[in-house]
Amino acid sequence: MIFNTKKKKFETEAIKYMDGLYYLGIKFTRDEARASDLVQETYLKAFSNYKKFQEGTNLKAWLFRILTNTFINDYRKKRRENLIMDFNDNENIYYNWIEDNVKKENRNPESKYFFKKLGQDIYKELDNLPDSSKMMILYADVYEFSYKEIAEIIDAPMGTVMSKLFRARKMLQARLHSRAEEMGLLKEKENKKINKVVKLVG
Amino acid sequence: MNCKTFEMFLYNYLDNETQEQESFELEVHLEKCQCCRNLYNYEAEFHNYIKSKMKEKKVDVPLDLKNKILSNKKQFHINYNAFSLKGLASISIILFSVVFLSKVSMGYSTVSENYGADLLKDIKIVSNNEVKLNNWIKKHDYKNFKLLSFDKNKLKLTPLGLAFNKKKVIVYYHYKGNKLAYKNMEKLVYPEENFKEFKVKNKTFFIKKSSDVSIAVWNNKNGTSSCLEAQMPESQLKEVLYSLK
Repeated sequence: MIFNTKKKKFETEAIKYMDGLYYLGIKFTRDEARASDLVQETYLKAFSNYKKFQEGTNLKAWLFRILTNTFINDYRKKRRENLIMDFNDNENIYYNWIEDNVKKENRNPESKYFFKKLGQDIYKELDNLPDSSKMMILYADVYEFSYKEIAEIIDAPMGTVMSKLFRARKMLQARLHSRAEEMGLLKEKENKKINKVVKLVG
Repeated sequence: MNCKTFEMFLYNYLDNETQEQESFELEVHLEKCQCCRNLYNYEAEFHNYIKSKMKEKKVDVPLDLKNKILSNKKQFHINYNAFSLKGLASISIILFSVVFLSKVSMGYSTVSENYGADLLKDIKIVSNNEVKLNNWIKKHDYKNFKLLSFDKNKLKLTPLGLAFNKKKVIVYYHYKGNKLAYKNMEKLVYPEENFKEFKVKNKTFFIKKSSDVSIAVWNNKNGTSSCLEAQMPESQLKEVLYSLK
């Protein structure tokens, strides 16, 4: 019999995540055609490695892992090592940035609402982030994976997930601040310090 | 819990990734520290902002991609079940080995079950040799199945697994009493309930109701199955089946 129930269940389940995988593909590759290729390849790999998938474990995370690895290995010029090394520096900058902007100045209660005024800019800034940071934000905030699942996807310990996510979010914040500044949504006093951070972050 | 650890755990807290004890300590600290309250307000706002913004954006998967993946799914069946071979390049080898195998060891039903339009499509891509392919199809059809003497463009008896209708290739698979059929090239799945059972002289057929193209599926005595596709209404196809038997 061509179908057996386990295989069929696996496939039906796997197909459900196509939308999510495609969106991630677009975010990774920034190109619809390449995203299609990436997703197709992901499914090909998933179907042919179906036996390696253990039932009861997280299929969604497994598929995202395949897509992520395929992207890193085949679609991205820089290899995985670079991805991990991408933003290990500058950690202190973010801490300083928080201290500068939040703690010492006793942030203007208005300023936290500047995000809302940014509108569509968040997508642009997200696209401009380094791949490693972008991934973390996509996993955590778009797909709402748990830290454990993200650890499975990027094949790293939970601690790494936390610190990477922390930095990714800080990086996005810094960029959004910089954009807000350009738009005149932030006070100048704050701006100077943020600007300095943004410059360092790159 | 101090300000430094609060900061460290803040995202975990916002992501609901903290233990009960940690959450409690964070909340206690939040109560008494103005600095961290500001930080919390800011970060919570940012957190909500990202989540809400990102959820708004949805992209539709192109139909083309959906179809490709569904056909991969079937190709996976073909490769996985029958030969455990991977990669398109090897498919051309399958073509020859299976023709050989079908003669030697495999029963007909295995061959027909595992051969799908996608495989054929892929062979076309790989070998780009339609003549060879068409010959193979003819040979395959001829050797295994009786061709009925109807207008060939309109009606053709084909194995379960392959149905040819001019340029169109349609694939049918056995499933649950042979009632379910997959129309491959157009990526249509006919649900089981679309097929209605009817009998002609003790033989059971499953026929799909249609005013345009009708399909009949049935089991043969030797364990194989057949399907018949015709560009005619269901009632007319029934008449054909009556006249056949």
